[in-house]
Amino acid sequence: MIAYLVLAALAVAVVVLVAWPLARPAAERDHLDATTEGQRRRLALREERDLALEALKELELDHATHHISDVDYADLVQRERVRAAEAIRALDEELGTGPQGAR
Amino acid sequence: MALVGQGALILALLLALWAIAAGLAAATGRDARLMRSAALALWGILGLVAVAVAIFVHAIVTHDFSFQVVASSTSRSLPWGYLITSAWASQAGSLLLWVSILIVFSLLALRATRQGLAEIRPWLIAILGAILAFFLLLLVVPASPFATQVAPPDGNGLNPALQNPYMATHPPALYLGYVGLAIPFALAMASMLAGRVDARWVVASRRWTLVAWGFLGVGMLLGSHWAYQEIGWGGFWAWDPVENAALMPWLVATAFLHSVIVQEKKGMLKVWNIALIAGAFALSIFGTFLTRSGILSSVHAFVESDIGWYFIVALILVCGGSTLLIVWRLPLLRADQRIESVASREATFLFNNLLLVGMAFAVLWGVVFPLLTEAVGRVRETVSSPFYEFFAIAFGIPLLLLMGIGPLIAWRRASLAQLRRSFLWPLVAGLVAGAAMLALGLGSSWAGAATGSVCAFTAVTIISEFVRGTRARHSLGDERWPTAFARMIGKNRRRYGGYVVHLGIIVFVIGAIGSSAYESRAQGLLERGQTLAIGDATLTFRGVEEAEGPNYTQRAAVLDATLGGEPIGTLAPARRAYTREQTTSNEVAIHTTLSGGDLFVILDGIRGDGAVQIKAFYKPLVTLIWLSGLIFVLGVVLCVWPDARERRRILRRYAEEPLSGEAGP
Repeated sequence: MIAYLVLAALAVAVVVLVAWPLARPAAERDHLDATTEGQRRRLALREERDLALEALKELELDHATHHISDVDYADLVQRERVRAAEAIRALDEELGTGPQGAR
Repeated sequence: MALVGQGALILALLLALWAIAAGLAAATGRDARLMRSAALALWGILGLVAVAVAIFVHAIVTHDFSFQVVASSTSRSLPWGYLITSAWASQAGSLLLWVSILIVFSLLALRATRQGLAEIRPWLIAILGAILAFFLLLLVVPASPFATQVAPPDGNGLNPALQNPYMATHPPALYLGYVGLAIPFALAMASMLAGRVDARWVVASRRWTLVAWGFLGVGMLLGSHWAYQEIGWGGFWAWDPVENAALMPWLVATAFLHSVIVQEKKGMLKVWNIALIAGAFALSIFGTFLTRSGILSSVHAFVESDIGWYFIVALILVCGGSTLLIVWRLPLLRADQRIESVASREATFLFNNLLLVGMAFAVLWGVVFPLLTEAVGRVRETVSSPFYEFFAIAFGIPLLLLMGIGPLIAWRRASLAQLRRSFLWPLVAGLVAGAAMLALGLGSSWAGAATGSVCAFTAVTIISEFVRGTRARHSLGDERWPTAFARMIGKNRRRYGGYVVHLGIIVFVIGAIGSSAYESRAQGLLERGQTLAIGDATLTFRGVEEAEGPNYTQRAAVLDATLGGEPIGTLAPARRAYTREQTTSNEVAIHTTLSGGDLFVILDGIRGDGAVQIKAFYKPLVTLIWLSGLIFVLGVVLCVWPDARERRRILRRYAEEPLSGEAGP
């Protein structure tokens, strides 16, 4: 008998637990907004920028530890800089803060 | 009490089903209230599983033999420590451990997705709820820890092989690994369902995979030491299907941990990485299936078992579902860049992945082939050690070589002149090591000599990496050498932590090769006063001693041992007869020498006239295998340790681009 009472108490507790958030009417803040296409694009550009900046740090370490020749280092650094700059430029355009956005 | 325990598990199953339904409804209907309710369901499961565990452990320690599981795996004479560890010795107990770990990991994973991954949380809850529901279903229907009976006066006792201190660490470590792989799988699937396949899930999954992979590795090594000490056949790894069950997901997770670096740095291998993480989780389910379904004893036992078909359905769902999701999201998973040159770090990672996955497939085939032959009505074929050893050598030596090549090659491409300069000293070291081994007469095993040579090559590259990095920091600033060394590691923890793990692998390989390819063995029937010689050691039989343990009687052969003519003490290999369990076990005697080798002695039998059958091994360098575990753990901790710089970068990215629904329970 006690076992059944304990189980009943547990059952009531878990029902209250999961029903608690649903007990009040839905409000504006209860809507989960989806990430917009624009947010996804900007996020991708920010990732691209961060990746390029990280790659520059990695190149610096590889160069300092003589894993990469001076010629390759100069070429690869240039490419990562261009990659970072393009990502930042595209991001500025998305946000309307770059040269095109300012016009 | 059993009724409350069973009821708690049923309620937990209902909550898991609610978590699936509410999670899916929250994801599709974009309802934050439903998501909070689904998340609270997980907390409810935690509470209910805690109640079930408490009742189960209470039944074990109070010898409540009305619980069938308690009666079948414990006895009144079982020492207290083994009573506790018997909690996961049975099928039901081990599944309860699975669920306990999974619910804790699920809540931690949910917490870790608050920043930057809010959109995937309802999907994540639904997937974790589904995995929890599967294991709770097993506990409620075919493998209940709360099945009762009329209590017998005593239990059947615990298998003597499980009455070992390693029982306290080996199974929990393995289960932390198996269960841990559920989290990166759930994160990957939830990210694909939500269409969020950017780098954020990769960062979250990588750390979870590292933790799970670390535990699997440590669990396997603890299991090896257990087998070495307790099973008493003279080795540490027998390519047993139960051992292979842990090795397969570990190999695939190792491949993921390498290829995910390529995705993070170069935006490549996105589909491959998701496939690997799904494969690692499927193999962890497969491993649990192998050890729990009875299929290893015979296919017929599996067909008659209550639990096997549940696992088959789960495996189909995991493999089929993840394949469908990958196909659906292929357009989002295009690579950002391509591999420019085969002489690049990303190419070495790719080769390493192919070898690791190839090795996992070879092991899988070795495990599955006997089952298939039996299933088609033939006599079960056995796949024995030479099959596995062939593939371990064929895939292992190139893998060791790549461990040395990878760090020396830069991303994107490397010039010939640079390669020549980088490889000169490691190559010299490898050749010198190979020549030295041949000169020392160690050419009897070509695989041993080749592996030793490759280990020297790779060890030198790794050590030179630490030297070069420290020198670079020291020459750039005014840092002293120790400071430069510490900061170099601190600022590149993943890189240097990975190197430490590689060093651990090399130490392990040297220990494994030394103790297997170059071991000596001897056996003989000894009467009192007779001597058995093995290499530089001798064993002189002095007599048989009898002793009583808490739940066994023991007969030991007392042997005076010498090494190089010097006495090193007494060794007493024994056989134990367990009264309650009505079985015997071998207790080996081990003496570790200063050079790291073991004199390993087994008592094979005692004749009526008091003569003893002794089998002895000398295993050079075997201690390195256990030492490698410590190095491995150090490397894993370095890699897993939170990286403040990475955290700041992610925080900045999401502070700049706040996504919807970041706050949550």
